[in-house]
Amino acid sequence: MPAGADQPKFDYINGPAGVLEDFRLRKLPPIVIYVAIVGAVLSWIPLALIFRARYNTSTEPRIHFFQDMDNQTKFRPQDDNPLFADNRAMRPAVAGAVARGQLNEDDHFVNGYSLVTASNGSQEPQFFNRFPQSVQAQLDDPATAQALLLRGQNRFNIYCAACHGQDGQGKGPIHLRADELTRNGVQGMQWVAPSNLVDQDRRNRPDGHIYNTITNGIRNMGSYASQIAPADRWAIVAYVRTLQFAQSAKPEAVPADKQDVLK
Amino acid sequence: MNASKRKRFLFPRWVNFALPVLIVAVLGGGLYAPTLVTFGFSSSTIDVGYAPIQPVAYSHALHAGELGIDCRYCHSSVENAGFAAIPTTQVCMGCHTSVRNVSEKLKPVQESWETGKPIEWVKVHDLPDYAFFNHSAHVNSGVGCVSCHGRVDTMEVVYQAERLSMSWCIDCHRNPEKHLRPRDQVTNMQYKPEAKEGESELAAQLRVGKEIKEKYKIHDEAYMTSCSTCHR
Repeated sequence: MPAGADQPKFDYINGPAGVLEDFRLRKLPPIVIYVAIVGAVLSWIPLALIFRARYNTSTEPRIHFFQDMDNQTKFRPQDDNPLFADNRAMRPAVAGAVARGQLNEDDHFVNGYSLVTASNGSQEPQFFNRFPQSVQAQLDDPATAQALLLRGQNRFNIYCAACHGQDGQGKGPIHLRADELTRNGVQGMQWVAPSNLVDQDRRNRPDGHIYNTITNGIRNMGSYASQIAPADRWAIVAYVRTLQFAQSAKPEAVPADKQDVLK
Repeated sequence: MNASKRKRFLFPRWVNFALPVLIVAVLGGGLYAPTLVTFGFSSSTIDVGYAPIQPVAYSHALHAGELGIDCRYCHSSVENAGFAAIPTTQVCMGCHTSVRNVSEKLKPVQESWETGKPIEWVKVHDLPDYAFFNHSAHVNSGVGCVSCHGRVDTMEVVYQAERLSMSWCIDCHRNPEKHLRPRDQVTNMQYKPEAKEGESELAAQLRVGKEIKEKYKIHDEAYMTSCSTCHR
């Protein structure tokens, strides 16, 4: 005999005390409805925030959920380090320090001039009017000359053309803009028009003089030593010479097999 | 009080609604939670669009866009070094000693020039420190600036335009031909490969990209997706 079989069957509907519940389907209690509505409305807020974040820029620092080892306690180039008064993690070279490959023994290659003692006893720079040997060797070899000039053109168009123009005539976009600002009477303009690099003055300049101008600047023009390496400066000098030649060349100077281009 | 008089607890009638409500809640929540996590944690949401306030109100839109100064004029180390250096104050002062040198916006630059204290620009594109990234390797392989940095030449204030997440890196490492261009076009922000007649832009890019991949000897997929290529 199964357990409980002798007990009276429980009347689930009426129970021991009769009907306890009516059969009308009552509505949900208001609190449940309110919570559901508020929840449904609030659930849109994160979505709206995400939408806003995806379609806008923000000056706030990025949210970084998982740090992992993303930000390590080490210094990368141009990081800041509060240990030093100037906040630089990269330390400027100590005076007199020579980095590897930067011994710069060759005056001609590195400076474009050598110091000679003038008649009054002072040290005067004398510019070399030729290319350093290593550069001249590249120019003499047709196999490397084109590469050198193309490199010069590439560097010229990056660093020089902004002011001097791609043709070297001194009508680059920066000059045009500065000129316009000056004419409009904008405050703080002391613009001096960039030189025409292909005029007779510049043709007469020694190679070393042009090199030195790139290295140390001249008049209005600042130094480009930090942006252009010495070898590239010489490549630019070679390209400036090319521009000067090309813009005064006679049609006969074009090789016979390229004469078609002129027609 | 005896047991039979004690009121038994019966669930109220409205509990009959609980099941459909629960089903709706579970289905809705089941959609809602993954949506929230997928989009909320996505780098497109939390990383892209970061545009910190810089110490100088410098406009790339003016300098790189309108005036057309090449990226490398200022970021001159990008072709030779892993790090594309932020220009020194000297580079700014190269022009701005004689251009608008009384402008209020230039004050921090002039101060830095006089004191020798560097301007503390805020880094916008910041990869995790365990990711090895080398600018020169990319630029010299024909990856354009715009591929990772967006149209900086139109930005008044620089913001992060791309996700810079690992999956984003890997996408290109798997299919570099989608993004490669000739080296002399690397800093061209509007470069489009020349399409042959009847060729779509994408098809032209893939054709040019494949040629360049061959020409610049870009590594194969196995190398490009190897862990130690980027995590050294």
